[in-house]
Amino acid sequence: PVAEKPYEPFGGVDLAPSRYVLQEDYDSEWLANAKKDQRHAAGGFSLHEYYARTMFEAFSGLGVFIEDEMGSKA
Amino acid sequence: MANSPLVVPGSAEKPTQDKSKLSATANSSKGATPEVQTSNGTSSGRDLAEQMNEEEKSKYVKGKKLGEGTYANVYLGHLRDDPSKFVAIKKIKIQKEYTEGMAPDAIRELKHLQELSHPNIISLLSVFSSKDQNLNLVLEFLPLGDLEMLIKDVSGIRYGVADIKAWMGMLSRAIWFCHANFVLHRDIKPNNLLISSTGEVKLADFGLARSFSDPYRQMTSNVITRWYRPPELLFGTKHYSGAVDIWSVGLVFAELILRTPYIAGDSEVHQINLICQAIGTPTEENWPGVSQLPEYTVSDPPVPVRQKDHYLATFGTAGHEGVDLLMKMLILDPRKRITAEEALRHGWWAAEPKPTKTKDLPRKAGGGDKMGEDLKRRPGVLDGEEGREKKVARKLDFSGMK
Repeated sequence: PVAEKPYEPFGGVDLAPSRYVLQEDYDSEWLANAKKDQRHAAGGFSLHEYYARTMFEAFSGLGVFIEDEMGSKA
Repeated sequence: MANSPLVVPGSAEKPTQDKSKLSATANSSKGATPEVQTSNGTSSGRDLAEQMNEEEKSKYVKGKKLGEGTYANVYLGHLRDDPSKFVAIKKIKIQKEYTEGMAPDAIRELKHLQELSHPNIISLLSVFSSKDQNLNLVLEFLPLGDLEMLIKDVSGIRYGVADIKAWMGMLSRAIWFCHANFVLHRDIKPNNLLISSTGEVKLADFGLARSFSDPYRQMTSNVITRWYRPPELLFGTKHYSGAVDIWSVGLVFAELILRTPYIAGDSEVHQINLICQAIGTPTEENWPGVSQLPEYTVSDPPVPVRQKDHYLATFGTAGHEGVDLLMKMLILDPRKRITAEEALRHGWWAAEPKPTKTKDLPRKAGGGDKMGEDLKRRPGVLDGEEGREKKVARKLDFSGMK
């Protein structure tokens, strides 16, 4: 019998980005007020979540060439 | 997230047809304006989009009504090509309040479910509109009811901490996947956790979901069914994060152990009072800035934040590691609350006992009608607060259906 695989809490799904490294913090003039706003902070608004999303959106699909991929399927 | 090309292993349960899903246009039109030409070169009056809709619709045969509600009717359906493959067809009703367009719940559900493909999130297989311009969502059929049914059936269903760990693992993965794709669910509760024929728990009902917000951009605090609503939303915050869902997950965890809702307030003020008693009173000391939130009110005198011995007395069956995870999900200050990713890295999953294998989990037969009820409900409402339609749905009998 094959040895049982250890429990994998993430179910084998890996969503770590491969083209960039997410930093703890980013300097941005636009974010300065949000960073010090008590209501954002106390309400739990997460700048980290914001960084994660904007960085993902900036890099996702960078290696995808729609015309090349779709050209053969049309 | 519209550009997230996430491919998830294990999501292969969907029938192969779903490739045509919402983007059937991509196969045929190459971006040109779709219009069908008749032989004499004039437009037939029925455009290509309509034809494709008909084609999609004809892939499914609509069967019995599983449930009827103010927001949607749910039907059992099957593939025309393979009558053994069941689906649930959720027909969104046109609502009086939203005569100018589609109801927001429908748009939210469609927008987010079409992007999320994960074994612990209900699959949206297809979408089509019917003759009367109603929106129909074809969803994966989950015949074994929901987690609430199992929790409530105290005399019929026995389960232990290994089973709880397996269910919590599936729920935690689902919410981690939502957050990793920048989606807040905002209505996690036991009756939105449906169970597949294989025993897998699947997060359903994305009628209140939204994408993570930008800073300075306000969100509504009136989300999440009251019993599962975190203190920051009860205090009316307009800027929040994934932490709101984690609080709900913590309360589902507590409910699985207790087999009764842990903090069941009958009003928002009552809900806050119960949180103060069960967990501790939010104060400037344990939650800096909390008194600045728009609707911050707590009663005097403050209750000190409960310590581990208090939780061990109530939730000791989960073990030390389990209680530690529960406490981290129920931290008052959302900044300090555990995140979904951190929760999945917690030591509880590796501690004894091992989570039960999915196929060995306790289950209940005849949950098909329950799926109908769960899917037709208006999001964010407690069972019983919409009592009238509920009774109608209860009368429907699907015991003969496999």
